[in-house]
Amino acid sequence: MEIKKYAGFVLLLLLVYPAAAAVDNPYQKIAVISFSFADTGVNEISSEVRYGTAPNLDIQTGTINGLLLDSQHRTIDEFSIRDPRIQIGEGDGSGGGLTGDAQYSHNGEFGIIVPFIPDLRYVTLEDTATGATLATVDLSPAIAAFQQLYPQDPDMQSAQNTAVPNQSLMFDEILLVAGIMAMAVSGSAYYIVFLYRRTERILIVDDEKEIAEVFSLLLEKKGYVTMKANSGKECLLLLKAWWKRPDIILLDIMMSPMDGWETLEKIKSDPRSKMIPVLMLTGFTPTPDQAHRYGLCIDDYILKPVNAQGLYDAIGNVLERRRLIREAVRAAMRAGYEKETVCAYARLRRRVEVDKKLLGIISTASPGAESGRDASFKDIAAVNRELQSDQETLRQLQRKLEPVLSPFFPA
Amino acid sequence: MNRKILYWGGIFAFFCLGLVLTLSGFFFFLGVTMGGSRASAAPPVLLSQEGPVPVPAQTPGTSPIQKGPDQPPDQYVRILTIDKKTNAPLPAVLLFINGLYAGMTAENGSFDLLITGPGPNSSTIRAVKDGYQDITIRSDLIRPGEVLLNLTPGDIIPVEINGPRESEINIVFVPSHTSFNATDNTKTELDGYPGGEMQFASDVRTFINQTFLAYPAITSPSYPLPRDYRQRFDFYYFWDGTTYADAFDSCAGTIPQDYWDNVTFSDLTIILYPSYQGVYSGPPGQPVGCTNPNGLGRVYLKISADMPSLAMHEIGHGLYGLMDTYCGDTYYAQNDPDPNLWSSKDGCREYAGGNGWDPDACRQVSSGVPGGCTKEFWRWDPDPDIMYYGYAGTFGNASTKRIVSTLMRVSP
Repeated sequence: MEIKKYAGFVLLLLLVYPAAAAVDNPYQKIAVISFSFADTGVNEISSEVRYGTAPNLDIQTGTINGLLLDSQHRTIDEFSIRDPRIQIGEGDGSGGGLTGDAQYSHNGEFGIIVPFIPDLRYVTLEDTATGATLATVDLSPAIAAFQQLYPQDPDMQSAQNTAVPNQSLMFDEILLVAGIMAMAVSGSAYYIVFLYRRTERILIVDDEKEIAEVFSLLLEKKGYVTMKANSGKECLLLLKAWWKRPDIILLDIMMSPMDGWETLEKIKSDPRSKMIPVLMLTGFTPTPDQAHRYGLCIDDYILKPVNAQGLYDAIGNVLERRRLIREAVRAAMRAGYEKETVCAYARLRRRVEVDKKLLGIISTASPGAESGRDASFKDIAAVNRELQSDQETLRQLQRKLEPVLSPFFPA
Repeated sequence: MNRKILYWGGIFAFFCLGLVLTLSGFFFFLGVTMGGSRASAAPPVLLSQEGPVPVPAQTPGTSPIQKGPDQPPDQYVRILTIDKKTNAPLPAVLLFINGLYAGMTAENGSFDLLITGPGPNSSTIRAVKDGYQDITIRSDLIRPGEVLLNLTPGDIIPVEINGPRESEINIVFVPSHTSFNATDNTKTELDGYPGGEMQFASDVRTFINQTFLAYPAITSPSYPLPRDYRQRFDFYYFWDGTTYADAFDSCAGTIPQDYWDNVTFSDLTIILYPSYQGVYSGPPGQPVGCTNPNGLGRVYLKISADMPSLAMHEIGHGLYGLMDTYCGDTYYAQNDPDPNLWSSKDGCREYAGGNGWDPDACRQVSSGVPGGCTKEFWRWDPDPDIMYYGYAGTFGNASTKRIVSTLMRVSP
């Protein structure tokens, strides 16, 4: 599993790094340094950075060690050379063997050619026998001279700023990292949008698990994503997480200890969840008082038993109403109307529709006791009066907004 | 729609998106570092170190890298490389843009270069080919279109190339216009190298075969040479027809500064002179062979073209750092690591024992004559030791071990 997990990354490295290595040829610039030597020591005569190929650093072994150092005097590479003061001459001696003529020069010159490695600043020669430093050459002037001739050479750019070892490679690496980051961000965004926004999520709140399961199956069959909560408390907990927030809540009324009405109050009192449409779900007819108190808060009221089509229709109506309201608001704002006016119209229209439905339900139900009947009649009358008043206001608003609303909400 | 399908669909979409972005980045990466092929309608321009000169249009050839026609035309420069003397197109010319390798020219000498970066006024193009002088051009001489790089045949002529310079041992031969007669200790001034370039090239080839390529016959089988040891050398010779080394104006002779300016990659330069007359008997005569360490990239020796055995001895000094084992007026030091000379008998015996050799074979450097020359140094290699006799002999275990370890430090 671990191998599979990292296989993609390894493949990417295999693809990218050979290409990076292929374009980097370190042996095409050199530092050429001339020294003079005398009994008093070794001195630099001149140094130059130029294009060219250097000799192999690893062939010679001798008594003088050379160190290639960066600006912090850290060793980048090293080499070894033989003592340049000693020349060994020889020929055939008269006895058949060799006649030697080793010449020790007290003064003279020699040269060092090394590959110019990015960050190279100093070249130091040390006598391995004594440990003494024979010479240290600061290449900065030679680098500056080369840089003036070839300012875009990447090694010269890195020479200016040792923190940037290779400008073009750095650019490539930034590209690669940016690509991976873009991949992660856009992929995550796509995932979130696809799962959480493209498909409507419906929260089913019912303390009877079997009923919640049946509703869930019915809704998933229709393409909705469902979540289930088995109590009002569980429902409120779910709504706190923004990434789990549903598009619609199907809320059962008969639950304990927190019933559906109490849960509804808490949902609507929380600014994070008050905009979520709630469809009340129950096997009992609401009392006129409940209709009067909560009618404003709910988007529909579904009486059990309900068939699949009835459920789909109710949810479809709510979603369609929301879509129409969104489009109407956009159209009205484009036409110059205030957003608040259109929103007030939308809220009122929803309330009138719900109130009409509730009034139909509670009017057909017959309360038992005489006193209760009087109270119920009063509540029904109150709901009716509110409905009449709301319908009048709705008509006025509709006349005002007629030009823009007629395509969305026919009179 | 099933929730699982949505979940795995999301994961799959994520993977596809990542793949597309990564591949885009990868191909963009290739795009900014490599040239592309595109024929251009702009008039051709001749580039030389002196500046741009218009040249007649040429038929563009196939380029190593193809790019689509949607690329902006002003981003491309078609480079054509030709031999300045023969006007023949030059394939396999290495091109470097701002110091970075960009690619090599195709069979027809062309390469299409994608100009990237801050602008055409600050880039450099360098063309490199064995046998030709390197050319480095600032791109303020370059305009979009077609340009011609005129490569002058170089003074450094490849004899045998087995790999890139940076991973080979580079041996360069330089002709001398002087020789020496030891019978009257006079330097002979010649009119160049006798027989000219053809004779020199022939002498170089013979010399290589008798020395560098003859190691298996004269090295110890206890330390086998790498199987591909011959492929670890590149050989060149220097010839411009007017410039020669002088093998006899000092111990190792002198080489003109022009040579050092052109040849920066040499691991060993060999001054080859035609022949040596008489027998060297020390100063005031001039030695037959002499090695000058001279630094790094500047090591050189002189030798007569017709003395391959002594040449092996001198190359032992110049390339491998072997010490003389004869007793005389020469230089002695324990040449660690892998020495063939020790500064103490115990050191020699310990080293020999540690390598499975007979410690009793360690013996002091001496002339072998009672009361004759002795030095406080010890040697192990059995006679005839070429580092002792010079004119004959072989490399023993100690010398061969050092030769092999040097060759092993080069990885072609």
